[in-house]
Order: sequence, then C-alpha cells, then structure tokens
Amino acid sequence: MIATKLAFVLFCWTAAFALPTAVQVVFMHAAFVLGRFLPLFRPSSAQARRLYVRFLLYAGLLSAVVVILNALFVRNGEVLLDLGIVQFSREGVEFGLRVSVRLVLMSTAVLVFFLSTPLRDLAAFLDSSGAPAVLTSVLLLSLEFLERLPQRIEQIFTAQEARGAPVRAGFAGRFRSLFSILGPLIVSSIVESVERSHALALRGFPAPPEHRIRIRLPLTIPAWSLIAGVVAMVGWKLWESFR
Amino acid sequence: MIACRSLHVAYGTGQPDVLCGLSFTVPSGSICALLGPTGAGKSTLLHALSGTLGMFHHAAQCSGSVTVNEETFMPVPRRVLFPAVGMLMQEPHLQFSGMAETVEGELKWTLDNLGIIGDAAQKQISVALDRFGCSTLRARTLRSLSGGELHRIAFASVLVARPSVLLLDEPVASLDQNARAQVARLLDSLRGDATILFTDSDPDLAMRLADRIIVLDSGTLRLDGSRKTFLDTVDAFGDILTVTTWPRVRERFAASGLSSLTARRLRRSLGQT
Repeated sequence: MIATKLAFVLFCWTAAFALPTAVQVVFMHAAFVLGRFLPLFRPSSAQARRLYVRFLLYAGLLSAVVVILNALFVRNGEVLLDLGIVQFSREGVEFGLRVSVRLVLMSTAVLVFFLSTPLRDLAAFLDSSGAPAVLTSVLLLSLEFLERLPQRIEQIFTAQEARGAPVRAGFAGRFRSLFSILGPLIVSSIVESVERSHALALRGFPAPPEHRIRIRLPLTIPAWSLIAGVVAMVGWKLWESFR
Repeated sequence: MIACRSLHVAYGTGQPDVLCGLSFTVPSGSICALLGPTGAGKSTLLHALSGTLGMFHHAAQCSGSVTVNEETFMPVPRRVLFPAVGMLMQEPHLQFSGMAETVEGELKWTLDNLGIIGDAAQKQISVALDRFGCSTLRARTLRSLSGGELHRIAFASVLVARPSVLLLDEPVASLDQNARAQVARLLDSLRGDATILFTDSDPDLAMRLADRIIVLDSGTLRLDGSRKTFLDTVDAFGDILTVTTWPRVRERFAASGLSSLTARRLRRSLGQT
C-alpha cells in the first residue's frame, strides 16, 4: 500500500510540472477528496485529521494571497479589474494561479502521504525494501523522539516548576522559562538517541544485505496505472519540447 | 568466554581513563557480576565488550585487548558483535526497534536481521517467550504492556537471537522484588548455555547467583573472586557499594527498621552487635 501512495506522490509532482493548470486543479481537488474519503489516504489519527483540515484552510488562504499579489504586481497584458490606483492584470492572475495550484498540489500529495502513513510503517517499508540504513535510523529515532516529546516536556516542566520557575505563569513566564526547558530537552534527546542507536546496532540493525528480507514491491493496479501516468506525462513533455 | 587484558579506555585524548588497565577472565557458561558505584566504568566496559564503544565512539582512546568467544580484539572490537553478544540496556524502551507494534513483531525484527524467517523464526520466538513466561503477551501491543512486562520483552528480544555472551546493564535496577526474583531465576536457567556478565550497584543479585564477582571503582579492579571472597572482604567496599536488599543484611537488621545500609554502616553495625 505504501508503494501505491508513493506512486501517487510521484504522479502528483510530475503533474505539477508537466500538465496544464486546469488539469492540475482537477488533480488537486482529487487529492483533497482522496485524503478526506479514501481509507488508504485518510489521515491515520485524530490529530492528523485536524492537521489536514487546518492545512486545507491555510492552503486556501495562501493561494488567495499568492494570486492577489501576482495580480497586483504583474502588470502586463489585459486589465481584468481597474480600481483606480489598483489594477488586476489577467497575466498576473494566471501566473498566481499557476504557482499556487502547483504548490498546493505538491504539498497536498506529500501531506496526504505522511498523514496517512505511520512513520513506523514507513520505516519498516524502507528497511525491507533496501533503503539506506541511515535513512531508516533517522526515521526511527525521529519517531521515538516525537512519541516521547510530550511526556518529556511535561517532566521537565514539572521539574522546573518544582525549582520555582514560573513555567505556567502566563505567556511571559512561559517565554522566560523556554530556555531552561529547551536545554534539558535537547541534551536528554541527544543522549537517548545515541543510546537507541547503540541498542539497534546491538540487535543486528542494519542487517547485512544477504539477510535483508526484501519486499517484492506489491505494485497494485492503481500503482501501475499511476506509474504509467508518470511515464506518459514525462514522454508527452519531452515530445512537446522536441517538436 | 570473556577476557580483558590491561584494558585502558578514555573518551578522548587528554581525558582521564574511564577504565584503568583492567584484566580479568569470565569462563564460558558462567555468571559474573560487575559491581561498583555510578561512574565506576561498568557500562563503558559492557560497551567495550559488545563493540558499540569501538563502533560509535571514534574519539575513544583504548589500549590492551579484549577476547570474546576465542576471538581477540586489539584493543577493542570495532564492530558490534551481534549475534554472538547480546546486550540489555538499562532502559527497556530504548531497546525496542520502533518498527513493530506487537511483542511478536518486536522479537521477529531481531530474527529478520539474522535472516531467520518462517517456521524457524516462529519457533525461536515461542521458545524465547516461554522462557520469560510471556507466551500470553505474544499478540499484545508494546504500548499496552506494564513496566515489568516491557522489561521482560526487551530481555526476550535480545535472547531470541541466542547469543553465547550476554551483557546486562543493571538488569534489575528498576524492578520490584517479584520481578527481581524472576530475572534471577531466568539468569540461573541460562547458566551453562551463555556466558553472562551483569552490572549492578547492589550486591543482592550477585550474592544470589554469580559464580564470580568483580568490583570496579573509578575504572580500577578492586576485587575479582568468588562470592565467598567477596563476603570475606566486604568491609573493604563499604565506601562504594550500597546494600539495599542483601538478604543477610535484611535478616540481620529487619528488626531495626533499617532499609538502606552501606557496607560501611554494616561494618559499624556488626561491630556494635
């Protein structure tokens, strides 16, 4: 399933550069719908769902800002709207739309992938499909760090509070005690990461190549279709540039 | 078999020696306790024996030699000696791969790294879990386990690779009395199958099952002998060992309500009684 999702990301990124903006808009909405309704692409936790909704709101706002700014500052061609001192040009609007649709399509594809794929599954997939051990290690260490972060912050908060630091006394207090929290947080995270990398090595990670159980990439029909789409888009773009 | 000859370790040029010319031998199949206070160099010695010191601490300055299972390294192994050497870290949560949800998946991960799959892997997992009395936990997620259960599964995830040398860094430090007794029984059951070296700052577990006891202080060997030798010379370690659960102490001083005594205090108390 992860291979299908990776193929989807690759497809969207290729489309963002190879296809006309109107088609990109269709794919962008398709990505939104997939991330909202299709189980494979749906965010894997309640927190991820909240993040996805927030992303959609910010993406809409950002797109509007990009379009407006381009419409204001690109002054070539036909004027769509004239408000006296402010003019909106057609070329500016079109350029703004192109940029924002491309950005939103690419970031939606990546976000949908990461929100629907637990890091643990991704690390296991990368490890078994022969990805560099460093990449998998970084993912695993990040996962451990993120999982333990809230608990660790709470512990440090409590410890600092016990020493009289005004860690919960309003914004100013929190800001002042930020540095006293960051220090222990960073040091303890580094120490744990080192110990964890030792522990992984002591359990035989990374396995020698002959012991790696490689996944035969389970390329489903949708994955093959997406890859075929990527090849077609690249081929069409090349043909068009040499024509 | 584990042996060290004149092993010196410092964590960098110009840094003080963490281990100062250690020489000792742990015969194959025996259980050896490495006692000493915090900062004595116990964990460093385990890392030197397992290969993590040589592999990860490139600035470390080492001299002497280390022998593990008839293979001699000058001065320390530069690669992790997996699966010949298995090591249990102090914190069980650090031991887990992060790639498996369930207990079975966690043990399987070790075997995957060894290239053991299918029925052979399932059999080894069953044996390891049975040994720890954890068969019922097989399908449970790691998140749902208690502290004691996590500790046992961390131990099982090491043992499932069937190491011939087992290094345990304070294996009972965070466990209650029942769990300590369980670990002691387990280590006893491994006697003869694996060479076991475990560290502790409390001699309780060592007094129960160690064939020999090594006492380290500031990287220097203070004692290398049998349990009897340790008992006979215990007064000499009053300033470095904390005796919290030592049965002899507990029996003797239960009436007095003392729960934590250093050996120095013990000597004074013994003198008074």
